[in-house]
Amino acid sequence: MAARGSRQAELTSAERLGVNEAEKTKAKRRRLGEVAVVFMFFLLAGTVFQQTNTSFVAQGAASGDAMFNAAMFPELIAWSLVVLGLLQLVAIFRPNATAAQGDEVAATGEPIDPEERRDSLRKALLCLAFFIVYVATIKLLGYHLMTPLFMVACYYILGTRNIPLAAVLAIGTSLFMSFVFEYWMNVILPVGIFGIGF
Amino acid sequence: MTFEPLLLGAELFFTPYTVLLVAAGCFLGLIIGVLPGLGPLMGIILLTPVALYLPPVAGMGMLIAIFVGGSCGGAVSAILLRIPGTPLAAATLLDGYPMAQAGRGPEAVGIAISASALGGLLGGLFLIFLSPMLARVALRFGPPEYFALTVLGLISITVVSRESTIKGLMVGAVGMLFSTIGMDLFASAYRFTFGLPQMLGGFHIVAMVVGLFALSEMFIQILQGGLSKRSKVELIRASWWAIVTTLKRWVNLIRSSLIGIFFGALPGAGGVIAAFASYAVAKSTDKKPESFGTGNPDGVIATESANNACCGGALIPTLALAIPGDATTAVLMGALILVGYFPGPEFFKNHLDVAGGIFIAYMVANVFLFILGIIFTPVFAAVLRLQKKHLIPIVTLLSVIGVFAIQGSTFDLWVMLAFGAIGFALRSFDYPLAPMVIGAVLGPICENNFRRSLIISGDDYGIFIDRPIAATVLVLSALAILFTIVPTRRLRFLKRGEAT
Repeated sequence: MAARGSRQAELTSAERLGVNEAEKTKAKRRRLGEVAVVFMFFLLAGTVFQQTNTSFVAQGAASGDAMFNAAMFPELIAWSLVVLGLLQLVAIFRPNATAAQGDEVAATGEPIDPEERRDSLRKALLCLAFFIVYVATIKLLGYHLMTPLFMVACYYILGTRNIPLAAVLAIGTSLFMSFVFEYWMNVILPVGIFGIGF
Repeated sequence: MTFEPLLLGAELFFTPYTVLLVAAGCFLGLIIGVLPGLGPLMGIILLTPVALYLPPVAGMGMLIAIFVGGSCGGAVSAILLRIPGTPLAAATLLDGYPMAQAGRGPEAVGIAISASALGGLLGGLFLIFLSPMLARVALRFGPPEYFALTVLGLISITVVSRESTIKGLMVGAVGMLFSTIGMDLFASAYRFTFGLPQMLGGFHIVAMVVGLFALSEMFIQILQGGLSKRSKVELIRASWWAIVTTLKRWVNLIRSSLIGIFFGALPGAGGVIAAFASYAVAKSTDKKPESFGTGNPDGVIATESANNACCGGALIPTLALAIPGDATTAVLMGALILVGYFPGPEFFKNHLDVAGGIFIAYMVANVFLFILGIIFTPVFAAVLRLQKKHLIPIVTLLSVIGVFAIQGSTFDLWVMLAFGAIGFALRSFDYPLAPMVIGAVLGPICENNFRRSLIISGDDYGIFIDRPIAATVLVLSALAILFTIVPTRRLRFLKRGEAT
């Protein structure tokens, strides 16, 4: 009985070690992400300095007084960004920095099941892919052709498995938006190579 | 002078078209506010492209009505579902939900709507009387004072934001950097255009904001799951008599509204702080403080009157000084600039009729809030049953068409997509997004006044210290940053004390 108890205690501590390890990995990954974001800010500041030393110089707008020095203000901000970025790096590597985040939670406040999280990520990426295709082709193929297709795809990916219902919703929304923007606001929506428009 | 803007604005406002648009804006705002995850900011962002095609007062009136309706709508879901539709209603559920649990849901919703409308009207009175006065004072300001004010505006919002101050300042600086893209009006030089003709005018603020907030939010909503979840909510009908209950508690109503106006006018503070502060004050001054949190109508009155009065307060510095207090007023200010009017003292001097039209629109929106809010409560409760899987594609489509409609450019759609990715990445690492919008809106004003100051002084930076108002405001900005460091140290000290 006592042996079983100690075995259980061993298992529990081993499990606990595993959890700690997982948390540590998560915190490390998070910290790496934080650093990557700060470097994106540095990259932006670097782009400012690169531009002010090339394009601005070529235009004669990188020096002189406040009237003619178009680089003055962007460089000031870029330097602030560098200083703030360094401060942020210090904050990230501070020993008691709270790098780890808690479990992701759903809108309801309940933790998200890992399987559900994977499924949600797949859906989000699929929607994003369709969105990119939609934006890339809307001018070429036109609003009235691409919008219902994009909408049906989105409805389907997000869980509306009833295709006729998804089609009705997609066409209805697309026509309503077209009515508001084309008729009411006189906006010319892309007609595409087939010239479909109202 | 006090009533002059109203008399002039009445001519612009009182057309059936404008009144109808304000009513529609209020209704839409309520619906958007009710839906968890959306809010007044999202409503304003999505409808800004529509507003740009309308007459100025009608367009701005519609957006302000969305602001008013959206600030109240969140209370319905907070009371009925215990899920605040917007963060503004987070404090409302403390007493609203227990009231609903006790079968007093219709009364709670009615009180929330009445208190919001009355608080909003009180905020409107302050807006009407204070903003022209403030604008008159600001007429004496020169470029150094304006530069200092824009710096303070940006710093305040980053300092008060929930996330890290450094992160907020970084994001604000990036917003300012993005605002420098395009033609420099002083030196007639092209900045950061990379040879692309589409970049000559810079990134369009609407494409930026829609991407940052709407697209990233849709992505996050999908990731959060629960796409087919349907809330079980009872279709209730709010009572007209709730206004009597609210008016009977007039001391709490007026006190909370004043707190809301104060926090609204303070850059960076906003409705959430106002709602919790007024709740705390109402609780501490009540004869039975223990009844708060168990379904006390005073709790609902305090939070809802404060967060809607806050709208009026927030519009005061936005219109009079061109200093928006948060992301929502920054987008409203951006919309006003896009329809052709630059806020600030000159706005009151040269376009008093438009300012007056906006004041009236704000007041009328609050009246509509009460009428439409009470009539359509069952509709708002029904909206809560909407599934996310049906809503997300519609919001995404509205984002796309709205952004495309501004200039008929697919380049703007790519900008929106890029900012969606930026918004998502920043939110994933707890960077606040609001400072980027404030930075982008304040950037041109800040640079313009910075360089004009230096031109006046012959490149002598001493001009910012020699002028007392500019120096005081800049010192205040420095103190605001220092204040955020001090509590951290104190906190660390306390933690060390606890450990020992």
